[in-house]
Amino acid sequence: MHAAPNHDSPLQVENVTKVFRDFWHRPKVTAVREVSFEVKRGEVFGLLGPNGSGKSTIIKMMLGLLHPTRGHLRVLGRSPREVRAKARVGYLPEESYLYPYLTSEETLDFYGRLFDLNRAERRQRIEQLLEMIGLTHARRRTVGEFSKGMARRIGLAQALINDPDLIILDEPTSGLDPLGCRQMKDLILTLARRGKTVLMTSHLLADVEDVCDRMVILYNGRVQAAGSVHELLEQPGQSRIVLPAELPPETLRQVLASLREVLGREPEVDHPRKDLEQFFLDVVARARAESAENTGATAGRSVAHYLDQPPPTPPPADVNQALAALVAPRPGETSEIQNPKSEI
Amino acid sequence: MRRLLAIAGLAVRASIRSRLVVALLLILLGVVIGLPRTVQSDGTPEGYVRVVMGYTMGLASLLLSLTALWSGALSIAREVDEKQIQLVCSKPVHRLEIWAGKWLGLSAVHAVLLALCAGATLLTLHLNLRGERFTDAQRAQIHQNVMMTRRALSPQPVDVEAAARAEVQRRLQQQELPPGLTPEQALNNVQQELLARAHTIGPGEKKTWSFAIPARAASFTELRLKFRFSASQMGGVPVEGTWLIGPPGEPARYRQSVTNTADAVHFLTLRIDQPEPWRQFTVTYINQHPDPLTVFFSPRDGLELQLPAGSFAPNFVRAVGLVMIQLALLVAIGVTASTLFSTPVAALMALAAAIILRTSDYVGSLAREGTGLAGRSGEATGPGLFDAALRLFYQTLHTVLAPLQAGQPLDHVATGVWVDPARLAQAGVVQLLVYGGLLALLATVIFNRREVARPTP
Repeated sequence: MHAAPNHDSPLQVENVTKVFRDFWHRPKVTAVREVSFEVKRGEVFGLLGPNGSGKSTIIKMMLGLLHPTRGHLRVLGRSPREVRAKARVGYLPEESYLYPYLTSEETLDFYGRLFDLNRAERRQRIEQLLEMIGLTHARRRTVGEFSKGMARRIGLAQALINDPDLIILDEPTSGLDPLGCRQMKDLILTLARRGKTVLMTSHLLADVEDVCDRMVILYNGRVQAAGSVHELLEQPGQSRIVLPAELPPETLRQVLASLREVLGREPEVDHPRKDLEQFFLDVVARARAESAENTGATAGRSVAHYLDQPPPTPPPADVNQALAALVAPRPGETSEIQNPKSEI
Repeated sequence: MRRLLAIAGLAVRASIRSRLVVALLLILLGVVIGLPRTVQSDGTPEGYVRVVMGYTMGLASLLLSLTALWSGALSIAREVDEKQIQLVCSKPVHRLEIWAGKWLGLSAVHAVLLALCAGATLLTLHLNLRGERFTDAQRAQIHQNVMMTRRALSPQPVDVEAAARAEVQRRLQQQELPPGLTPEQALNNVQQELLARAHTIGPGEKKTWSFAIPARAASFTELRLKFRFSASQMGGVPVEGTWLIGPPGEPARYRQSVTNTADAVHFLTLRIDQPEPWRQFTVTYINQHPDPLTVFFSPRDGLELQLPAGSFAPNFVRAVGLVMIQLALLVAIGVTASTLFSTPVAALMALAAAIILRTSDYVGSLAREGTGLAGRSGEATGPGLFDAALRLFYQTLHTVLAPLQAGQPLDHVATGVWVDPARLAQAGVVQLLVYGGLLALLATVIFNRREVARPTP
């Protein structure tokens, strides 16, 4: 049975198995085994797993580059092998499979033409994308001369040139420096807020935790865990209290005494640390403020204009629906409004 | 169309930026400009033109044929190896557009290179003809024999089939046929034998050929006979003979005694006032050599009638057009191989296809006569099963290859032979539309089924 097209699920994967065979058609490797999941419209979905767990194979099946041995996939309601299904998809591969003899501008122009964009639209989008990825100054340099990080940025720009509804990012932070990683994650969140659906793979747990609403964890081609990031990472039975540093020592002693009395044992006390990524970003921001000089890619706009359009919302049927639409949080917003102090 | 042109443009950029075009252009210009200075012609003014046209353009088109195949075979296979194709195939592009884009881009690159070679050749020729290299008389000779193109007409064929069948029947009854020979092989052998006998002229004998000039050749004031014969005496001996030419059933209007060297090309030019009486005429050769000597005119190209048909430049353009069509077909073969196989295999398969294409004459003879593997021991009396299967294979291959026969159009131009525009149109339809279309279809079907992101071993 085929998965029925579900318009709220741009991506449907149903019982998919992929067996790679050798020249004589003998089974060689089973890369994916009976994997099923759905990605909802507007969410950031993570495929997590160690190297060789089948993440990239699943992505390549979603793009029609590989064909499932068993099971079915639907991309935006169509078979991934249909050409029309690809018109609204953006794809950033694990490595930047770009033509080394094309310049940045020519690369984006080429992929824009593959999406049948007219000349004026291509020009406008290329300008905005080059600004967004901070490579305006390198527009006439060939991609073959680029560092891995710069090539990755061009790879990202080509994935967004068609203003896709579904963005598939294979290891998006691979090859990027911490600053680039942060910008990539911010971009993913921004795109999700604008109604785009994002599917990303990573073996970097922090990346997935930072941006994904839901995820599946793969190991040896099988789904080992699935659910929302919040559900999966929550530790039931434990709470953390974060106290401000300016709290007078006497008050702190009173709080600890109360806790000791309630718990019947000594509570754990430590001093929260910044994570290394945040520390690094602070250092870079300071250095940038002190020096106008930059090396490599510069940070541009956070997002290209044409990608920064609010998603079209269908007119609500009645007043109650209209009110519900106004108060309902948009997918991806939760990560922005979280404040460490609210965890107390 | 925008996608197709994008992929075509990419193929052009790849050729230019990989420096293939620059390297090839330098080699080609070296060939076109340098070769005429180094290669010795036969000393005649026409010989010089033949060297410029035949050697230089011939070598240039051979080089371009190899690069057409090679670049076609690498086009998609290399992108699969280097994985760029994964990004292209993740876009809304049909696989046929990828095939057609690569074909169009590489064909355009080769068309431009061929056009540059042709331009450089014409310029070289023009400068040399105007310079001090030739006298006015030699220039006139070149104009007469090369620059004025002529339509070639073969004599009406001698029908030997009925006689050959009767002869085979007789030999079968007399049990004179060699063992292991199939009836078709025996008939073919006897036909060749009778045909050769019909074109052999012994001492004092004569042979007559008939010509019919088609109505589309509206007006002509000159007829030129091109002939070449072999003699039973080796060593390019001068042979004495007489040509009698005129409408059938009338006394010969032209009679000319000649002494011509065997194994060389000769011309006999007749000026005529009115074309009409010459729509049908006969040509007779009398062997009048004083010593007993037999001459043989090859049934294939021993005698040819040449009618004035136009000027050099359009003829040259048509010949270059035919070469371009061949190059486009080779690119199509290369790109098709590229969609099916990995890089080295694609290159090998494309090369094999090109070799088969070049040996279609041999394939034709195998299709007609079989492989001759059966009956070598002398025990078998009929064709072996293996021979029959091979013959069927060669017949099928010949059927496929026969429409692709393009001849050597540049050689024709070099000898002033007219290249028929209908032939150019036919080659365009057959080689580009029919065969190119079939290759595109085959490539698309298989490319669609191919997983372009399989892990490489």
